[in-house]
Amino acid sequence: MGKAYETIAVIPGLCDGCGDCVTACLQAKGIKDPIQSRIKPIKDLKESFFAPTICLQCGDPACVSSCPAKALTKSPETGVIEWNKDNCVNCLLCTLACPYGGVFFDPVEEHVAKCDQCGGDPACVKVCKPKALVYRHESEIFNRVGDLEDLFVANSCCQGCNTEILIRHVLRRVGPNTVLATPPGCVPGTGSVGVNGLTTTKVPVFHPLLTNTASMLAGIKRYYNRIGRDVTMLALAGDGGTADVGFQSLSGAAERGEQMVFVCIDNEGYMNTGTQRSGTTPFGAWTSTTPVGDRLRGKASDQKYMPLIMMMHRCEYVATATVAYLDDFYKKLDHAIEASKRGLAYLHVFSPCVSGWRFDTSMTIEVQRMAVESNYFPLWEFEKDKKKIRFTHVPEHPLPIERYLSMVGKFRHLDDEEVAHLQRSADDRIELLRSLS
Amino acid sequence: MVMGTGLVGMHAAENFVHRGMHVDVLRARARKNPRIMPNYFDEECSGMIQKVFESHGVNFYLTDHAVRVAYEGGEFTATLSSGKALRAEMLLVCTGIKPRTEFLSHSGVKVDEGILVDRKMRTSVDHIWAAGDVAQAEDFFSPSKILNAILPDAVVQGKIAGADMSGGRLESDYVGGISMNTFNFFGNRAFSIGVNDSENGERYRIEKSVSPSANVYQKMVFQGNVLVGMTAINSNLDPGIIMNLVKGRVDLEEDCPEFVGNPFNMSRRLMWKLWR
Repeated sequence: MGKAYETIAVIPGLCDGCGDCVTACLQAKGIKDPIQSRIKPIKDLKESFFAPTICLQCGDPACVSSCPAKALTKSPETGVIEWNKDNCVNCLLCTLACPYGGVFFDPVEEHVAKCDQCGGDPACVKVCKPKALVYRHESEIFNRVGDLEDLFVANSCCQGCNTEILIRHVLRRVGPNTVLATPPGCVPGTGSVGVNGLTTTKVPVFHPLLTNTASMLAGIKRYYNRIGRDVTMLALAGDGGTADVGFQSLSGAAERGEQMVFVCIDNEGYMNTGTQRSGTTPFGAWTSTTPVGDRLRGKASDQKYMPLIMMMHRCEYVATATVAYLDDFYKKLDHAIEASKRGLAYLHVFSPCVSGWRFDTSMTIEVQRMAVESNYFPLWEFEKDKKKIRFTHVPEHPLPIERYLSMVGKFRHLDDEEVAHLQRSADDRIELLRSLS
Repeated sequence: MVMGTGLVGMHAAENFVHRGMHVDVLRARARKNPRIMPNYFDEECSGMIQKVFESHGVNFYLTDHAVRVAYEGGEFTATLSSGKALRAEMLLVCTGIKPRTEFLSHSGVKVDEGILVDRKMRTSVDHIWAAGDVAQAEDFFSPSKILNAILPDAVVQGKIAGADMSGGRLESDYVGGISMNTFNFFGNRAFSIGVNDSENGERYRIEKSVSPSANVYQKMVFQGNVLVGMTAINSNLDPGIIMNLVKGRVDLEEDCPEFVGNPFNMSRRLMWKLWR
């Protein structure tokens, strides 16, 4: 797997053009003229728009491939594009090749200059008060999990499927010492329980009924405990197999404190069998059983909020997560696996469905991000002994829920009043969660 | 003595000056417009560059051209069309680059000035691709095919050819060659992108700002509100960002006047706008 790197991210909407980054850059680099700054804010425009330009340390850098003298190279260790003065012939072709203004001519030093991320401790980021500059450390998680064994192979997921990403990451983390239960739904639909006499998962897997996933896992776990083997019990169930049909056995297992990791892959309906509504389908959403026409306008009732229901079972661990925040997702998986040694750990994962929700296959992650940033799907966790919930990602500037709804086809028909209803539900929910935190 | 007034010749002339030599620059053939680097810069801009060279002692013979060169007794003698004779101990001939395609003469690969290729860099023969200085590919501004021998363009062509060979696809096929270059001379810098033609006034609108005392020159060439070319000396603009505006045929619409007045910030603003 390729190596990921730490980079300076620029969030243009937050920049206020203060220019502190330039002062910090000049100081850090020991240069005097702002024209030499490696980071340059855009200013003096009629429209009030501010955003700095800076080298993006591209993965496939045009400056490097256009350099005839090997003066620019991408460091395999840090990912930073390094400039070597001794090799440079001052032809300036890099400034012509870079479409982002990342490498530029420094008229004082009379050669090109560019950002080197201050060797891993960028001065500009530290002084950026509005946090328009962020030094991203997420690469660490990609490098770490990239080396874990992939236990989900040759599957038959739809193009752009989030469940595919999810199964892959969960199995990587839990590892091969696992028994996996996948009740009817998309997860067995991917071939996890059998296709052409083989399975797509490289761990022991079985196919319980929709109704008895948690009780079957509980029985298997008790058997392993009796023979003295420590094996992780994992359920990958849809929202139907969790919140609706599967609820009674899960509720019982949670009440008894059975040791397992129960992951609910919430795609807000029965997406595998023809897009029918479920208990977690939100108000107003189109499904094949809540159609949109003269009489009906999508689902008439609100969704049930499963994570809090599970929390009230006093599970060892309850958390909400999405793969769009992978760092957060892996931390919660770690906690869940640890908690499953004592009792039931429940992970509720928001999982948009490309075909059933109607959005472009390239937007799978972006849809999740917007759901979180608009507080439609808040990220939090609950540990039994801490007695309250803890938010793990709080959007600094929450987006209106419309930003999320407008990306998803199943909400396309909503009028202002219906959008307002969903906004109110989201506001109420976040208020309730805050009161528990 | 440097024969040829293109970019390579001028680079060589500067380096000879740095070595303390006396340099004469002369033309290899007759030209309608007697100026240096005519492919990249218009008369005014070339003139400014030429003055910098002259201030460092370089002599130019641009109104006539060499008709004969002889080497005798360790000395070159160039006879110009005017009858004047120039002598030098060293002669550098830089009269342009030309792909050597003789080896393809019986191969079936179609050749004109270079190897003819389509927008996927495919030659006329299946399973053979050509890219870089040898390839004669689509022109960005006209239906003809041109040689565009410059490294950044060779990189783009090479990627397209490689992707096509392996059955892949890049975001787009070759959009066409755009003339481009950067030029660093005696502590000054210049760049040229796309159309630099002042003479064709009917088709193009020119926005120019010149400050001869500071040796600063900036010329934008528009077709409607689409930027089709820019040349500059000692400007802080980012050539790569400008290049992308030309390549994307970006219609600046109502932003055009502000772009003309504040191109440095406006081009960066447009970069952000076009990002996603």
